[in-house]
Amino acid sequence: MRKRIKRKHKKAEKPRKLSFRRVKKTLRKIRSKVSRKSFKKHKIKDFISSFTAFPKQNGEFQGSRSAGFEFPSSYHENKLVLLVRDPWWVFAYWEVTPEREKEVLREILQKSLQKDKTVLRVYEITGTSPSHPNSSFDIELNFFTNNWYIDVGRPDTDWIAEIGIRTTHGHFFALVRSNAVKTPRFGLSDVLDEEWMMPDDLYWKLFGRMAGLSDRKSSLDVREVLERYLKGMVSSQSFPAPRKKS
Amino acid sequence: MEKGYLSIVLHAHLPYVRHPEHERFLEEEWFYEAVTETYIPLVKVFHSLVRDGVDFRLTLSLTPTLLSMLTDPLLQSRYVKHLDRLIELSQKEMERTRPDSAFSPLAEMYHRLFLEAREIFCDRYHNDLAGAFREFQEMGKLEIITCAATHGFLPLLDIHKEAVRAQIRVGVETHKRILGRAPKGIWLPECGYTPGVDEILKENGILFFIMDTHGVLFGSPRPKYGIYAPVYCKSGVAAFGRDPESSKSVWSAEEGYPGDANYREFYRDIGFDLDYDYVRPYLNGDGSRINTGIKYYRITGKTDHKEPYSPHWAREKAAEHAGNFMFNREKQVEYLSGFMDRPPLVVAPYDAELFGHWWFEGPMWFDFLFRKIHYDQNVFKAISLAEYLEKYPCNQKIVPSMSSWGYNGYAEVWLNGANDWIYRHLHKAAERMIDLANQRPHAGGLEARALNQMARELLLAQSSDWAFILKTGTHSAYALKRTKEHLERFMRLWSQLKENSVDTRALESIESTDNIFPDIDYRVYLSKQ
Repeated sequence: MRKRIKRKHKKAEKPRKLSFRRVKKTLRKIRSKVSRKSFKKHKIKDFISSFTAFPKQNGEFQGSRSAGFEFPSSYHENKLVLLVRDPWWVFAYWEVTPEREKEVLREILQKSLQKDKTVLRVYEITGTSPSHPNSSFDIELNFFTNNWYIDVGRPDTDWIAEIGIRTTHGHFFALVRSNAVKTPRFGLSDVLDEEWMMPDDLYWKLFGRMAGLSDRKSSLDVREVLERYLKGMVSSQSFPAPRKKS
Repeated sequence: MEKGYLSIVLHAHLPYVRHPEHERFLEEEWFYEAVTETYIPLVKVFHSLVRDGVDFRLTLSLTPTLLSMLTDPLLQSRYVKHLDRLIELSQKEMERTRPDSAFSPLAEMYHRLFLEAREIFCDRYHNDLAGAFREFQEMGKLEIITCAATHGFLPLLDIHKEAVRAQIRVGVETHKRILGRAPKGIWLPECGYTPGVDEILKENGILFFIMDTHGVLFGSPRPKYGIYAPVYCKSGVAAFGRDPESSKSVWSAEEGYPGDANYREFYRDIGFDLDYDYVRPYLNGDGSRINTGIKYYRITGKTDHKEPYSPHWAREKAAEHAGNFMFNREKQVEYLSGFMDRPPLVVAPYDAELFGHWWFEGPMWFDFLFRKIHYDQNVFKAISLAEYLEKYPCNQKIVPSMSSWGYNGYAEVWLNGANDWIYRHLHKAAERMIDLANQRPHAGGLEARALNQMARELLLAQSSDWAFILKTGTHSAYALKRTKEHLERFMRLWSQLKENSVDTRALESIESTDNIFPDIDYRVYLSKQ
């Protein structure tokens, strides 16, 4: 249900003109903040657990003894990882060392600039290189945040991200760069293979039984109905599969 | 001449749960239940079909963790003890229900089933049920395929190719060791695919894998036959897409067969229904109530009031549902073959544990279904995926789309607020494993043993089951414990290797606890293969 509402918003807000770009950015920011809320509890837990100690060196390997084990709060490295969750969302986690931050802050000071915010900058790089992104947007971060669900909102698109410091004058200094990811396509491809072609009306009929389509519709209607069916099917899938439950 | 084909694929998987440090362990029950309720009943069905000359085909994935448990002497002997307790309980139940004509035949039924299970497990297969599956593979009835070593959800491990490669290669090696031949196909854990995974499958001699519907349909270029024929990835590995129509009739909570009022109710088990002191000896460890497998009621309806189970009615229903399934496939194949210039293939994958464990009559349904397909129609034939590929090797080349068969079709089940925090640790461990392998490619002796054990711990930590259980909530403490335990053991070994001070006794202790993949070679993590 949530997904359907989200998709609607997306359509409604899709700006056709340049002048809407700002509005879009603001909306995205608000949405990202909203989406963050549900993870907040977990983040606070993360934050607290980040103060717990590295495993003791003299412990034993017995399973029962590991109850006191806590994961390291940091690995003392600079790292930003993107993982694709679905066609619209990308998960990011990261770690930046204080040394790296100091180094970049020094650079900012040397250029007589002033830090404004630490941000997660997300670049859309479909069909281009990371150094020439098609567009980007920022997510402002609190100092203790170390992961984020990014509402990229676009299937079949390539992304890369950086954590960095934005100055009051809008300059950006990267602290760490991520891996590149691609969100999956959501819908039928428009690319057709000449060797493997089937007339459109036949193609849609292939799925007639599956989607319960009527033969009388034009192929355009059928495509719409089929896609709606497939999308519904993907998002309503709910397998019993609780095989590990008793 | 048949107009099309049906491939039923069963995915049999359990996470590796083996706790020698405890006499009885709650989560080990998952394995015992599945053996009694799913694997043995399936073997019985295969036997009866072969005995009666029914030619059947089934593609079955046996995961490396499940195969390892099926061949583990400790779990085998514990299973026999478990079965003996059930036999004793069912005997008591026959006594207790004797005056009641509705329940006493049911108690007798369970008693018979448990005795039969014991006969099959101990006498016929000498505790080695993997051998039973091997037997049907040799006869050409079963096409057994493999899975990633510990069922790691590959799209979320994919930032290190080496980690994905290790999951695949160790899986394939385990399959060969236990089943005696190289697997032709693989069940990607949770059908989790992301472009590029197929390259690693190719490296390991895998010819095909199974995807969810949208993984194939949303591929590019647009697949000509949709999901009714396989497609080739760029690597040349074939992908088969799931048919939603046949899936729904079994899976769907509302329309699916398993919800029929005549079938056995899963949630009314004597472990919960009977007097605590009476069932206490048959409960596990901490004494909390659990399922025993003895259930006397039928689903009846959407009420709490349940009527006693009638095996006869349930059997009739299973036959009817098998007939219905076959009829629908006939219609489907006839319809599809009208638009296709080759016979359509309907791929119907299910979790094996659905049959028997959840849907008590599921194995019986299979028995009816394969008999009906064999005797009652000529429209389609049952075929294994490998056989189909041999028959139709010319297929369209596309790039399938990232997908899974989990809720919402992508990675959400294994990547959400309940479990997303594990990935930074899993990735870090993979990175350390790869670095160590690259730095020490010629390790021997104690060093090599420590590295091999690190590989086992990493693989065990990567099981998608832990993320899944953390998400669903039931048993989440156990999933957390396992994630922690394996990564803790991994990290300790890592620190010890860094300091060149491997603690031999501690290493021996975890080698015997986490004894999966006995012949693993850590060099599987080398970046250059």
